[in-house]
Amino acid sequence: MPTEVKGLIELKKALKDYAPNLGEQLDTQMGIALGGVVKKAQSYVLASSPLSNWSYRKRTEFFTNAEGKKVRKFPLYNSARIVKDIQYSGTPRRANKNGFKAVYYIINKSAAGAIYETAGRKNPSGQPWVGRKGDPNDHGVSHSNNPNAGSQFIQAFGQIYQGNIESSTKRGRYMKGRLIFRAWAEDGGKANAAALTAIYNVNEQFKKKQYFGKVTK
Amino acid sequence: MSIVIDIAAQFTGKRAFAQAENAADKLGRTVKHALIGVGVTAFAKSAISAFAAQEKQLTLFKNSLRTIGFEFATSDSLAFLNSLKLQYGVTDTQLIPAYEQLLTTTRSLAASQNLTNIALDIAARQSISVTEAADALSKAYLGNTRSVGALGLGISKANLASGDFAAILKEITNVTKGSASAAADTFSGKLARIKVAADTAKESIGAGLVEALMQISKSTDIDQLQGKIINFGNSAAETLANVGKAISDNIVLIKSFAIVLAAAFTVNKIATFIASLQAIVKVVKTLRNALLASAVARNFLFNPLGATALTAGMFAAIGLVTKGVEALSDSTTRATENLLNLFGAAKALGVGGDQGGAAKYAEGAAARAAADAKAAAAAQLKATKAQTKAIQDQAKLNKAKTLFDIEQIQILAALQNKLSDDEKLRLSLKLALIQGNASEAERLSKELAASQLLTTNLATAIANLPPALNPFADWGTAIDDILDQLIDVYAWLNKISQPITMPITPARVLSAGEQIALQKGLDPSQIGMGGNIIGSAATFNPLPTSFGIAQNTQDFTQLSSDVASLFTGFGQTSSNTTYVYNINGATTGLLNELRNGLIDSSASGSFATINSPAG
Repeated sequence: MPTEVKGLIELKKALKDYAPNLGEQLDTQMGIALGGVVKKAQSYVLASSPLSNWSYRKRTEFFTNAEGKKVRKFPLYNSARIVKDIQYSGTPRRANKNGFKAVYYIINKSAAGAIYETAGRKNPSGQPWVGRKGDPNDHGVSHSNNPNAGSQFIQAFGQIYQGNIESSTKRGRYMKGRLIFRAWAEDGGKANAAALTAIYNVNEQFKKKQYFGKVTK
Repeated sequence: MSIVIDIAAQFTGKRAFAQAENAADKLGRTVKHALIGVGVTAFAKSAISAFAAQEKQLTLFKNSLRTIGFEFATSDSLAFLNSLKLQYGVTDTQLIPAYEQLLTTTRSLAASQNLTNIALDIAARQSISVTEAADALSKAYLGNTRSVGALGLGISKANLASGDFAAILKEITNVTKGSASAAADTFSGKLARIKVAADTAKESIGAGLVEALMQISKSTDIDQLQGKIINFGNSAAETLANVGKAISDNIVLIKSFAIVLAAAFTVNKIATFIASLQAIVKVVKTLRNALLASAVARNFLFNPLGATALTAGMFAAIGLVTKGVEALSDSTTRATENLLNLFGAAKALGVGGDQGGAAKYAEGAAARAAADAKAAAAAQLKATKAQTKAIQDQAKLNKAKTLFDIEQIQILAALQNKLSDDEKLRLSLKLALIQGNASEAERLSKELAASQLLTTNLATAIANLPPALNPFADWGTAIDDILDQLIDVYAWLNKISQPITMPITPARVLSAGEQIALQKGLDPSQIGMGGNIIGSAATFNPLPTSFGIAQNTQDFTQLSSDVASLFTGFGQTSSNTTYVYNINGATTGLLNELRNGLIDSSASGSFATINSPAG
């Protein structure tokens, strides 16, 4: 994962231009293939915050730092928002640094969801603690007064799960998570196979004569 | 930052993006425009541009070949390149410079063609342009292997260092052989090949249009033609006046011509455009025959729409310049052929099919559109009807299902009642049929058949029975007898209502001989003495000569008192005589009275012999 499908973007464009019905069919099949994983991932979202002081409450989302910059506050845990922002999509994303453009993907969009998903993935015991003395712009260290804050934060989230599909662009730990990666791991590759099969089938159908026949009429 | 699981991705690096831009975006637009249709004017503009670009490129190519002494091979080279571009879907803009460079480097037709094929393979495998691949090969041929090494084909450093082009080429061939064919066989490659075919058709159309326009306007090149078109504005008023006069003079012909023009502008199909050109040619020839050639040619020479390629086509037709018309005719023929080739190529590629050719398509475009609309309406109607029928059928099924349920309920209820075996069998069979229980239904049907057979035999037997006897037939005689007897009874009852005189045989004292006989257990009658002799009596109360049978309680009371008086002193052993009364009727009442009398006697202190406790 991801599987490189050569000509997929062209196929989607061609479907849009020449066989919109087939394009809708592909979208439907992808929905069936990936919807289950999304539902399962959504089911893993805790109803309430695992940390009492992390619960969502009304507040201003930004503050101005010492340098006068408008900075976004640390996101709060809003389970409804997290659930809503776990989705699948067929809209191509921007190409990554390696030149791969994800066309079909499952995404966990919310900031709080991403934190819950990945906390402890890089530093299982929390980020190195420096306290208040460190550079405030350094986000790779803990600035908390509590040296164990990071560890406690992560422990409250519970186990992190390893995705079972090796990525051509991602290393092992980048496939770890508690929501979509967990659901993906438990799916065991069935959704992936179904999605690729759907693409293959639609491509074959599109290549068949009748679709071009319709176009040329 | 979003967390993403990529399901399907495509490599779209910088090079890949550029390739995709060529292979997808432009291709998509071109094919879409070519196959589905765009504005005719826009297409004509594009065709002119394409033709101009190709013309320029070919001119440069010919010039290059001439400079290196291969002018003789121009046509062969172009044929080779044309086959390559159709086979692999590589555009002239890439292929011609690559071939030109290789030929310039190698100065050998065979080597350059071979290297062009290898360059195509390299380009397909490494996702680079053919020009880049050819450039690397050219440099390697000349001893500079750095570019070839940079291609990343895994060529050994020893070969690269040695500069042995043959060895390097061998390694390259081993690695890249078949890549171009494989790439051409992909979906993207197929679309690229279609694009090339479409471009060729477009260029042919553009060539025909430009040629026609130039001949009509007597221009020797495009610049001159543009100048004439610009100058048109100055004479527009005069031209339009002439056009008006020509139209009024030739209104009938112009009308038909206008129809064709309208068709050409309104139907956004390339093929229709081509067909329209053919129609225009036909009309123009007619006009020419009607000696309107010079007037129309003058009026339309600088048509305000002449800036467009489509107008060029119209221009040529309307101008009635023989050469222009012929050129236009030729161009439409070539365009038709190219489109036919295009459809043929698509068919060969497995992504399309010849739909009968562009011309044929154009001829029936309007009719087909109408037919399509009609078919769509019919299909819609059919779908609506089918949907309605499906709803009705569903409603019927639901109703029938309800009926079956009710029937089943009724059967179950009926089975609870007292039924004959045959009726139970029938109901059970029906229930089994409703429930779809085949095995049970079969079993019950067999039983029912057997039962029916038995019933049929019984009916036959009953039918063969003789007529039943009348059980009351003899009742008349019996009733008469009964009545007679009743009359006798009645008469007898009348009789017995009178006192009945009963003869009483008086007891007599046995003789001595009879008493001896009795003592010896002999029958006294055997010794010649009659009467019932039980004992002897010392005293005897005189009996009434007669007494009535008790008819009521009072009578019995009287009778009992009589009897009591009769037995006064009974039990006294002083008397040896026993009196026996033979009385007919009312024996039970008499016995009761006797019993009561004895009890009373016992209660009074007399010796009781009745109801004494057992011993």
